[in-house]
Amino acid sequence: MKTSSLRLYNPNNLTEKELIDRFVVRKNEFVKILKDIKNSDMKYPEQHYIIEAQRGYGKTTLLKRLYFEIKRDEELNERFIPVIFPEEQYNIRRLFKLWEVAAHHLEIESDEFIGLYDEMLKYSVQEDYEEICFKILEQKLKGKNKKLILLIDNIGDILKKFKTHEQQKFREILLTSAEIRIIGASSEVLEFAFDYNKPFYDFFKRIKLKGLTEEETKVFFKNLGKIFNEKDINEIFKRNKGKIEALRRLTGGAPRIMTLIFDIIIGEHEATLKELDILLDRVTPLYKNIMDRLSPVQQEIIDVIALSLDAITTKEIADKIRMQSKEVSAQLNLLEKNGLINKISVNKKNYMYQIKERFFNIWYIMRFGGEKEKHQVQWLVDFFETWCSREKLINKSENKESALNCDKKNFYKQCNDFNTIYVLSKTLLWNDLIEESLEKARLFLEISNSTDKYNKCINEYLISLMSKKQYNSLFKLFNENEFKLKDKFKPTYFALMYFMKNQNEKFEIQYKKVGEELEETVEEIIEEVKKNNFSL
Amino acid sequence: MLIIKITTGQAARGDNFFKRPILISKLWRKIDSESSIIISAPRRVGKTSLMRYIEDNPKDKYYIVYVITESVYNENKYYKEIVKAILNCDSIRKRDKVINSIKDLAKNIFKSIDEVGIDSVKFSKNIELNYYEKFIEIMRSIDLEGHKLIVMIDEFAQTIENIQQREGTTYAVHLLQSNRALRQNSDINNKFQFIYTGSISLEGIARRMDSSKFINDLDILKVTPLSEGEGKSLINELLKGLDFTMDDDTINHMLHKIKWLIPFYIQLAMDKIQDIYDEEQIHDIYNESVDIAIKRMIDENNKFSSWHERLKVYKNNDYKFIIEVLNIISITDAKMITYNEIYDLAVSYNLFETYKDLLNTLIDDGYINNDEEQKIYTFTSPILRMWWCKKNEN
Repeated sequence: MKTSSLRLYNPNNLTEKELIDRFVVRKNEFVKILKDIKNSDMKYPEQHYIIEAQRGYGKTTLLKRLYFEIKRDEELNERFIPVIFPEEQYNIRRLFKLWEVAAHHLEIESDEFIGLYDEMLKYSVQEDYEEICFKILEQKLKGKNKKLILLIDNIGDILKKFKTHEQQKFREILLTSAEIRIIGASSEVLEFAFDYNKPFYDFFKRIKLKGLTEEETKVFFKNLGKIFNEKDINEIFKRNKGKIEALRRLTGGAPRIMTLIFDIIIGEHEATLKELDILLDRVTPLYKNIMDRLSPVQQEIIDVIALSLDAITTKEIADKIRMQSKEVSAQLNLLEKNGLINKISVNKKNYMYQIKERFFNIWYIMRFGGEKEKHQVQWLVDFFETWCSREKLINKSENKESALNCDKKNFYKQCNDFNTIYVLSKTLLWNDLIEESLEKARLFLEISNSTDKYNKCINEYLISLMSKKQYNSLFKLFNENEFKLKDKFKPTYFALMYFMKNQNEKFEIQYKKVGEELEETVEEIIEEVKKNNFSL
Repeated sequence: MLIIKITTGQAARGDNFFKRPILISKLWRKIDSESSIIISAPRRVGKTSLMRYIEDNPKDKYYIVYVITESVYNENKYYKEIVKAILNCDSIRKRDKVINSIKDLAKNIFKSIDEVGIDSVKFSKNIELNYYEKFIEIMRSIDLEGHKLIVMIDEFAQTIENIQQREGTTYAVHLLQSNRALRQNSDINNKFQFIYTGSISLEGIARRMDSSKFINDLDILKVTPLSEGEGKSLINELLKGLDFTMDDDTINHMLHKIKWLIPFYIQLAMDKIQDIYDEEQIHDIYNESVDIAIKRMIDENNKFSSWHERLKVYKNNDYKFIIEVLNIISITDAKMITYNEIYDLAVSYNLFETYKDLLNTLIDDGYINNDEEQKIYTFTSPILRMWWCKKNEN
């Protein structure tokens, strides 16, 4: 059976059994919230939750999983009645509407509540209709001896629409009523949750969903394999380890995207770049929609930020689109508020900006970027793939000096061969003959400049240089534009910035530009350098 | 076994409330002395939890009513909420005699009340009453059988601020005045006491409206942070319900790191340790994990940005002065500022007449501590100082 990606996009299309069977990640968060619900007698108002994560990270699935669990667990079902709102709730603009919709759902949930909505409607002309609605709801729950667990997707969108006094009222209710408990989910950081002047300051307990780790991806894929009858999923996973890992890092490990990757991987065997291309096609409707909703100026700004891939300053953006920094700033604030870009501070006054959803950035470059930008992504994919499928380095046990003599002899015989020069260069480094090694390095870089097939070796050399603490020499190499090392070995470049960031503010700023998709790899390189430092 | 659950947002109630016997008896002492009270403390110290504990565990001879007026925007609505809360109060409604006296009251003076009964009091529409007067009438005629009514008003200062924003300072001051008039109305003031609290400092807002005189009859209960002993036992209580352990040294290390031991900081740190446990299944927690947890607390700066945000109610030089004081404390090697340095700074901002008020607000709101003897000021907690430094780096 083939997966239907359309269905995978929306957990609301899954049956209870399908959803529960597929629920193999986010288990910690599920257990944490469920345990809290189980252990709460709700004699007093309880802690309310907000699950925060970007789109496609599994918020809706987690909410639905909780909903089904409360319904199917006899003990929970006895005490609680769960109500889940659909993802989009365009009609809830006022607080009274929230109670009306809750009443409506309760009626569907259980016959015990039939007539609740009509009861509310009787008072619709009253001035304090909202208060009455809640009182009626509360009394009904008390009468039926049930506590309401209200699972609200995109709760941020709803709360944002409430006027301040309605937010205050809502908080009063949540602070004083023991009949209702909110588990919300939101794809943006709720501004009012941490603005002291706003009523919801610190009120919700926040659960953050992160991208899947390498290990979680394995579990996730194996489970998908089981569901879709892919008998040799272990074999497929093993064969594509580097590829899967490269795509995971590039996409941030969002489960929704990982599902699409699974779908592609089990299909025709293609090169990673080709598979990335198929993946990009699948997400196009989603991402195109984001672009279409922006104003022309905002589209222009997003274009500049996205094509730069790394974080970029207001002034750089302003210069590129020939607008005043002030005007650009205003637009950037809006884009940040809408969760499209991240703001990174350079110093007290200046900021850099970066596309928040990193895979959206990749999509943009691959669909609208020029050759140069596309090449950057290709190198990145290549880097990830080789890095993630690398074998552990084995310590050389041979004698340093004799190795050097041997390598030098070879060099005199074949002075135009990449491998010969490369090996010599590394051995020189090993023998602490740094200057000589660097001299040879230039030679092998020149030879390999027109091809990418030696990139893995070159990267090893660059890391070794770092391990020898030759930061400035390496920085010089990175700056020699003809080799394009910065583009080809981006994660290694950022690892270098890590080691140099205390030297000068400009390196520190560079280091701050690390995109989320690179973080894990950069950290691994840093670790490797530190480990080599130790063993050298 | 009694288990306290980690609580970081909602007011802690029932078993989850960490009892502080000294503080609780202090509050009862003040209530017994018949004065109305302000419970004063910075946000997240546990004021609401304390009030609700008193409500859930009243002493004999007291009826306790809790009302929150955060969303109230005018004076009449404020008194309406109080009247409603009294008439709906569970402990009052359990008493036949009292409820009957209210029912009679309803018939005689309320006429507008549709029903007074088991479920709730519903008011008819279209008749807008003067609830200030109704409050007085209720108090005059209610038979409390020798009990006293304690009306706890949460977020009172927020209500004052709401009114100030919507209707202007005169109306906001009027609410302070009318509350005082009630407290001093000798016809009825032997039957009730008010306890005010809220996340905004009432003293601060009254001071800014030049109206401190309308609250100077109130007794103040300052909720202090936990003592080291209390901090330790809170952690031990929390550990009973958790799957990991912490030995005494680790607990001491954590308390030392937090220093300003408000329950919220401790709960938040424990919550972050719980996260570490969930992620890595480390059963025995030592200093290293505590340090990581505290670093996470600071990194997820949303919990702290409010400390900066709420200073924005100060304007111009007041604001600049406050920020500079805090900056100096955060960056100097000694991590403190002397009184003389503060004075010198005040002179440069032309604030030598008002700087003491500003300084006191910073102390009241839990930013800084004052070592009286040496006249030096430091951040209340290293955590807050570390966050402030981090904020400035950005």
